[in-house]
Amino acid sequence: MQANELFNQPYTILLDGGMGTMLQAAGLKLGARPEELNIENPALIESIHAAYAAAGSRIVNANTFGASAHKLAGSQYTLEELIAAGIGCCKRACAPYGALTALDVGPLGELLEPSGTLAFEDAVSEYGRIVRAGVAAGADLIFFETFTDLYELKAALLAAKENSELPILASMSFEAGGRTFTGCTVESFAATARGLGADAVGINCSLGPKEIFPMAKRLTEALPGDFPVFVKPNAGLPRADGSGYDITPQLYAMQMKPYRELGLFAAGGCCGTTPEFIKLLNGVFEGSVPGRAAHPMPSVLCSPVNYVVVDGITVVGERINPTGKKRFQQALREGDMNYILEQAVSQVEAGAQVLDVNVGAPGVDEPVVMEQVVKALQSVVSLPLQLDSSHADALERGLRVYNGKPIVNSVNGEPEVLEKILPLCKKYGAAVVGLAIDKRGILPAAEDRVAIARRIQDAALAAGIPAEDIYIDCLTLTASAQQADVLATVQALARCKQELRVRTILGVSNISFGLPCRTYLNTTFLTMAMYAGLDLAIMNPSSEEMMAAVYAYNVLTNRDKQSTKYIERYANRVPASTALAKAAVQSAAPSEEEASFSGPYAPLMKAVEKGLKGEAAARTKALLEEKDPLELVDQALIPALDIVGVKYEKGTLFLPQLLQAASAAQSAFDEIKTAIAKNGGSGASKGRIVLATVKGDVHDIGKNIVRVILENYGFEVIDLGRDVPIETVVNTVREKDVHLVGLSALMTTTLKSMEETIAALHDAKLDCKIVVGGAVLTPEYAEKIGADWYAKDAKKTADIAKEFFGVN
Amino acid sequence: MGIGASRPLAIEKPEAIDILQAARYFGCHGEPDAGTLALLERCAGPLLAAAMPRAVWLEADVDSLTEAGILAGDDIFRHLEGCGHALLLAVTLGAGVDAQIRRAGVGDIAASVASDALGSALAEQAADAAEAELRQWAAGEGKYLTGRFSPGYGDWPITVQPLVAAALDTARRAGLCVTSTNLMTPRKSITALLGVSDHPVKGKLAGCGHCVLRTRCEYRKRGKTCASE
Repeated sequence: MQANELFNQPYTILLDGGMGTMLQAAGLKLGARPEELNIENPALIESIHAAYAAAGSRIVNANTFGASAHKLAGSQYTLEELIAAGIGCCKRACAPYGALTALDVGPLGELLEPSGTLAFEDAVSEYGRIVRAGVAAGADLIFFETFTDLYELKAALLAAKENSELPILASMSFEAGGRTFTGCTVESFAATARGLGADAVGINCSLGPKEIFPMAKRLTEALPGDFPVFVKPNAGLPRADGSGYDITPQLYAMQMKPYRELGLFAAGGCCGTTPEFIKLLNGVFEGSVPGRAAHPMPSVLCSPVNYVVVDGITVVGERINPTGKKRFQQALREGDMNYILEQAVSQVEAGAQVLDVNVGAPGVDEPVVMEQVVKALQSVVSLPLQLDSSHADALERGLRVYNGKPIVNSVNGEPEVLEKILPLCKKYGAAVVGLAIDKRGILPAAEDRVAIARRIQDAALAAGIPAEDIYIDCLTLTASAQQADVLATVQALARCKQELRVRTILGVSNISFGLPCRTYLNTTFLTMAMYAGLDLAIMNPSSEEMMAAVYAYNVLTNRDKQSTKYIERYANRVPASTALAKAAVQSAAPSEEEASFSGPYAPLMKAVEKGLKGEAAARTKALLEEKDPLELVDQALIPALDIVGVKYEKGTLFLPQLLQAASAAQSAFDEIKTAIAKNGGSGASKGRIVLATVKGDVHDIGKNIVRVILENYGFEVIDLGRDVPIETVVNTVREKDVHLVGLSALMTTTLKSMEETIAALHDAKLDCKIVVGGAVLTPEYAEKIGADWYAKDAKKTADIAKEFFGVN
Repeated sequence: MGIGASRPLAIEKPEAIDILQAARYFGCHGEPDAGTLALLERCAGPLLAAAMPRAVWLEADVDSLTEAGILAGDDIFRHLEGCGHALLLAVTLGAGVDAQIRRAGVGDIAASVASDALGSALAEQAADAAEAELRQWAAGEGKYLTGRFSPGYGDWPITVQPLVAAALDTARRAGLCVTSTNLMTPRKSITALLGVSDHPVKGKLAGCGHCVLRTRCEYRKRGKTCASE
């Protein structure tokens, strides 16, 4: 067989079985590196490959699964040497049988960010190195298997696409519940791997044929009928006594029989299977034809854990967008991810199903910030993202680091825009929004917009984007300016839906600019659009009226069966307008026990001291109606925190209470920052401080506490996060003209990294002082490694900062 | 016997997180106050929901573990006195817990630290559940186990962590990896060793003498130990 005939075979072909199993039987010690045998005992490796080829395997995986830098640390061989030798062994063994040699590639053995410390681009380069070595050695195809992290698989697939033209088979390992260790679903895997250009997808390892079958069935259902699917199950489950796996070759063959109905392109085995198992599969798959009947494909957006089928009205949160919001623009310019993440979390809690992400604002480097924001968002929320920009570079940066299948917002009818952006959507497997507009602007007549939509649809299909991934935006016009044309949008939407059979999307809130009580107009327009066939509504999910319209619509159109979801959401609520009236009465009531504080700030100070987050924010908001924001900081927040700090030092209250007070102050500060931004101010920083948890350390809780306490005292903190490279600290201090640096390290093994960071700051002759902290540090050790201060806790760090900047 | 093959250990997810233990990790002295308790309870639900506990273990003889470089220092050998064999155990709550801790911490430092403390308490409960399973196995074999002893405890260095993970094949079997600085990811993970003997053994705890925190330990200052409170 030739590699280019791989997917044109008339019958299901056979893969190989376990390699580790065969090597252990041959006496390989546990913990030893099997890949070293490619050089040290090639005859053994070749004999195993030959046994599989003789048993009928037509794709044989070279012994290169663990040939990656991290796993080979300490080996005398490079991964290039081991891959060249491994591919060589496999090719020699396969030649007499006409079988193909696969470069077998497993996970790198390190977790990617945000759970681990391996950066996404570093993973792409690492896989690039492996792929190039395989191509150079003459592999016929690339076989990614046993992946459990979709993000790592994405890095691998991008590397394969960017470094070779070989066919790619991609396989993940699932637990009995149908998710991988990292929570990735079968469907998210299917949508993402297909989008990123895998030629075939499959499931291997972890479980036996019986347990994998239902997942393999789901996999075939999540893919088009002609998409190649394969499986490589284990020889059953591990025996309790550790002596291997629990089913025989005969039982394995029997349990593989049901797979015939799945129209597999290929089948083989994983741990515990041997050539005998593969031999019996010849009979099982005799006459089995690859492929399944064509079926309609759903429109899907996903993250690894969250698979959203766009089938009817779906809410896209619009709040991550700086347009017209000064506080948001300021957060983007300052790299204040926390503010942006708060917007994301509150939309998730309000019921958004997808989040729109727009970071375009004056003074913002959009491509850089898009990448940062996408990474930050997917580290805390699991909703699929809609990347919203007209800037191709910004879209590509976001698409590249996004984990899952996103949607791009947007292209329009202009050929140059389509030519630039559609290939990006294709490469990264994204769905796409097409605005029914071109250089003529928004055309009033519905049929003109439908004509543009048709052009966009044709271009997207020609670019290789599946029909179900095309969404058309017929453009919401503002009722206050173009009242006569509002209905044309709804009519165009209905026609796109019926004539083009595309999905539709609208930015609903645009309808009401310039008119009072916008929610009423938004809700009514949303309802009209839903009835015309709207799929994605870009809206504010915190508007309960609009959310209620969505839930009610699903009841009235018989989509929400037995009103289950409606009842779940509203059973214990009163309509929003009634709730507001009640709240107004309640907040007017005086609060009790304010004895220990007096004056206009007493209730706020009390709220901070007691750690009452919601109340602190509400009190601050009310006070800001008449008080100067900075006065509030100096006369209420800082004095309240000082009182808490003194009690903490005296031992009359402890870390939990200190932190709850800090959280309350945090929420008060959010209000204050919004007020300052609204007035066009940039805030009055009491001093700028860089914080970092050093390279190699992932424990950043202590550093985060320090950040919040410093911010609460009015300092401007540049938080570089955890596992921060030395040069990032040095460069930031230099570029941002910073004179005080805080470093943290929790473990004894990462103190070395702290020492090196300090040395680098000193070597760079930067005019800065360094304060260090962390569980295993001592004042003596801090002095020894050249720090200027040792701080035993966050309070102490704040005291040091106050003294350094001469703040009282 | 050398070093045996790693095997998965089925453990149930605990029904609830031990809130009082979490309160202790959070920094409470004694009973938590009402506000702190409410905060912990609010954070506990989503954290427990995000957890997917997994465990793997293997049996090996002490000489093979020593030869493989897994046993090092003095304290671990004191712990293994009278034991010819030992069990290696790894338990992880999975990456979902790390994600939930990050999410809880958005704009709320108290919830961030509270969730982290809850994660630690839950990891400890998962390790207890795994240990209980292993004790049942040992009883069936007519063998006795010491208590758990983890890398980083006493003078058993955490530099053995990559070797422990490789022997247990934790990346493949539990999604648990070790960084080049010997830290476990997902973060809420525990590795441990239990001595196996044919007669009852207690295993010697490391004590404070070799502990890296001995000069600043809050428990020691209050005349207690971390194992006793």
